[in-house]
Amino acid sequence: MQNSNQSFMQKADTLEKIDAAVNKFQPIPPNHPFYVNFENLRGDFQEKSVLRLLNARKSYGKYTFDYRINQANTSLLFLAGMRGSGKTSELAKYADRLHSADCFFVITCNIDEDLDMDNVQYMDIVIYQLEQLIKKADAVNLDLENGIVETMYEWFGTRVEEINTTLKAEGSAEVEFTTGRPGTIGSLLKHFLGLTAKVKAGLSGSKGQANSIRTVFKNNFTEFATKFNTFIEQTNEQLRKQGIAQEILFIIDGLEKTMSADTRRKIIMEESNRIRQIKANTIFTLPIELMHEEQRIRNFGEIITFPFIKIKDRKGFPVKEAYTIFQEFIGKRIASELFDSPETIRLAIEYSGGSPRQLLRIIEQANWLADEEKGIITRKDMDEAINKLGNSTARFLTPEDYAILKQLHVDLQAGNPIGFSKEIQVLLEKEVIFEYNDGTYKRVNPLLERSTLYIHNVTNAT
Amino acid sequence: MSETEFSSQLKILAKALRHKAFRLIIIEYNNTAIYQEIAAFLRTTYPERPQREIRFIGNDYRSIMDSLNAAQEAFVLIPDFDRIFDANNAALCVSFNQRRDYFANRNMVLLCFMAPENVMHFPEKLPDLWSLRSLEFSFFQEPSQISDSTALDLESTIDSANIIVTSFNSDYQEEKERELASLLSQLEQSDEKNFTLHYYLTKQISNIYLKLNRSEKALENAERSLVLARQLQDSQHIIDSLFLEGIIYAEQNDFVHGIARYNEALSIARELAQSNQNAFLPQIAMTLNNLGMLYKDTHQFIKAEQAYTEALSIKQTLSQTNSETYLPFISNTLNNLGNLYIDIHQFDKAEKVLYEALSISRTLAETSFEAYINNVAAALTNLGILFITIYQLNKAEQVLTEALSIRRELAQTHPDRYLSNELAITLHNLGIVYSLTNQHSNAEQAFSEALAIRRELAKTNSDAYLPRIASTLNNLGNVLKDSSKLNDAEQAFSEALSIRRDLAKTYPNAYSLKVAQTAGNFSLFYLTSQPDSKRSLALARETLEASLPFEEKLSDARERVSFAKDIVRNWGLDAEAFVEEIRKNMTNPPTQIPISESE
Repeated sequence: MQNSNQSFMQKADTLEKIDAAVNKFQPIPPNHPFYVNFENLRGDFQEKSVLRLLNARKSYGKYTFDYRINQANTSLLFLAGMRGSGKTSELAKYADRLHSADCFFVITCNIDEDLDMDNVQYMDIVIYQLEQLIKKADAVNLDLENGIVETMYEWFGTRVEEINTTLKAEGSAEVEFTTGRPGTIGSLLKHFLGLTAKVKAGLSGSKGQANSIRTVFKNNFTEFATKFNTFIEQTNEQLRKQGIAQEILFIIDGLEKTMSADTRRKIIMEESNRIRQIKANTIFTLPIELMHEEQRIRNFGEIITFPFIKIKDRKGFPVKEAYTIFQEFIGKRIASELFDSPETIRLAIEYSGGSPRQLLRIIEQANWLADEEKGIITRKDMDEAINKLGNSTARFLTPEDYAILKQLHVDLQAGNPIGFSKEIQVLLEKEVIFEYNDGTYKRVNPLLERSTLYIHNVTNAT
Repeated sequence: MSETEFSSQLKILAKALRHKAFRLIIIEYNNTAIYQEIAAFLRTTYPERPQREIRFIGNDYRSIMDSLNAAQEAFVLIPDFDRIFDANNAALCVSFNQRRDYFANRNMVLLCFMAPENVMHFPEKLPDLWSLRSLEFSFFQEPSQISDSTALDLESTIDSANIIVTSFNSDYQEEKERELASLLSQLEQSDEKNFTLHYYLTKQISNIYLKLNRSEKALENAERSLVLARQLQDSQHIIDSLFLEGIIYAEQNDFVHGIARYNEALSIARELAQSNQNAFLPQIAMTLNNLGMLYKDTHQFIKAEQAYTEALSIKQTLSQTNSETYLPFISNTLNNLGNLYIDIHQFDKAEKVLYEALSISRTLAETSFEAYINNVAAALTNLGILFITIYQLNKAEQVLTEALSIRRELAQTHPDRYLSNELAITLHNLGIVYSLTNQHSNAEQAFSEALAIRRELAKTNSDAYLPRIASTLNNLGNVLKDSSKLNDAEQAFSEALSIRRDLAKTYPNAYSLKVAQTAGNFSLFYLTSQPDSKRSLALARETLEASLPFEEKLSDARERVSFAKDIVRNWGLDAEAFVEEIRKNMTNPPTQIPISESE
């Protein structure tokens, strides 16, 4: 399903049109003309690994899921990767391919898009998941038996009453929940949305109100989880009866953008019991700083690393297949005539470091520097763009950062493994270091390596 | 920066903005004139594009977002963007970062103006937004060029709310009945091979039956859920179902099965915790707490203390990283441990842990009054019991009066939830204090009120409340006797004894000494208040028959024996011979559960 921005993304045949074509904010779904399959170029990452973890199968191009053999299994999968690696596009691919009558009923939850509140907590995410489920069930006219809907309605009604008692004590406005029996899941949706809108504190702006709602559910999470899980199972059953899908799959994107890094760590560590209690197949994007908590996370979920595309091997030689695919990546967006030579394109690829987003940024910058009268991007424009981007990245590094980079430079040259440390983690988050394969192979961002500050502080100093 | 350089940078800016798309432009500046010049440049270059200024200072997250929502595809100039890095704006910073894709989808242009010394914070504090940056500019003028300066002080307007939490589990009978009917219908209509769904439904049904005080149906469904859990081979579900059964058996005073269930749940949880501590430690702590209560009820005091102590230790460890969740549990376990110490006469320890429980409860109640004020009442009541036991009656009256005041208020505001045994417990104990301080009228009033509450509760759950009715009747009998209301006293003792005899037939370990207690009181009644040697001696005999099996191990039993002997002597008989005769005719003591004691 395209959004309006995707529909404007057409192959550029003039410099002016390049801006739209290199829009780095739009994830590209598999059915879009710009889509490029980077399969087999992300180290150990393979789509089949994800399918295996979801207990789904691919056979002759068709994706299936057998709920009977997976009754006691639900999959909880964390997809970890650096910013700009293409996680969201990858998830869009699964949402598209796995959503079918023989496979999953995929519900995509973009936390960053829809949870418009400060300090998002895990409880908000779960409530939001439920809201999205009901919305989507309504959209496909899922015919849930009245008793099921009523039970949910009653249950939320009581909770709203609890919350209103809480809010009255604080002197806040009440949460609305009208009386009367809902006849359909649509009417449940209407009432339920009233509750979650308040959680988002969208109307009154009351943080206290959002907290009250959150706390009521949080303090008795086990009962909430039982209700949630029951509703999931009942929905699963009805999905099968109506031939819509075999089971629900939530894809939750944006978790890594919510809260502070400390809070995210707390969520995974302390909320892990709550996360475990929700028995629905779920893929989360994992904040990259939590990769080193892998052992703990594996106690309740699976992690799969989604790395950048490796364009240079450990010895520094270009990976031919990666260059080919990135050329296809650019070729689908921009007519080759808009570059003065294939070498100019190659240069951009080289300095992308295997990050699709960085590649688009480089081309975008080169386009802004290009002479409109010439109507093409020259090698000189590309060089200038790379220098500019490299120098601006270098500007944001501290002396401590350079000290780490110096050591990293020595280790990389000696072929030493680069382990984890908090400092390395910070540099990964700043996109100063890139990670490949399963994280065992790291490199400095090639843009940075070209900057004068880096050359002065690192290259020439070691 | 020269004019030429400045113009050339503005040209690049103009190019970047020619296409309507999201742009994040980071501008380092130190002079408001630069800001104004850039704003003017944009107005001139793109007159058709609206322009908005949004300031962070003096605005909270909501108002800033509302302004951005309204901005749509405008150029949004934020002259004090770096205020977002202030320590008191941490939440604003995080949420702004989170909304990255929201901004990107709306094709807005964010021009973020920052003081030079703050620009460095951007990649660290707004990493997701940073990864979508378009351009960075440094329009930095030397200090001598600056003619104007603006102090930027942002005050946080986000106040911390006082969160009040109410009980999640509503006690409204009708609503529970409706929910039950609905769940039963869903169970009937769902695919019988969907074990997972059936598991969730039967577990919920069991819980509701328990809340409706229909423990047999609760147990039936809990057992069914356990069967399903085993079929699913889901360890967590198995533990949950065993735990639920433990609770139900405890409600029914079936301590043997309750202990067995908890121990089985514990065993599985301990095994799983070896590979996944975080997941199962809370469950272990909860099970130990409940197990401790059953051990105490069956006089296995050493085991009870061990269970509570371990539960406490686990919860204290867990609370180091998540005190909000675990402090209430710590308070509960401390209360239980305190009660245990009272039972085994370790009064110093009891006082210490009960005051600790009270302190925690008061702290919790300060942050969430309605959620935790009842915990304060519970801690006060337990302290009251301690002070009664060690005969510090003034202190007992003080704490119990406070507890009662809290519970009465709760009963008024939430009658369905709080007009309950908790109020009855406090009344009962206060009654004891009044009785011991010769405030007979107050004592009678308190016991009578407690009794009325307990009779009401017993209508729907006799298993749980008959023992408590017997307890109150026992004490009321004494008060009525002291007030010379002899017929009423006789009736009270008679009913109490009858209940306790029935209970002791099924649960001899738990209720034999209770029988001894009431029989002893009743025997004394027929000695001093309404002399009747036959009845008095028969009841003395009953006291001895109930106490002698436990004499060796329990001090309470020895006290009852001594008491009964005194009564016998008062009737002019040889107490030792009386006891000896009973010993000869005694059947073997019950051996359902081994008894242990810490003394």
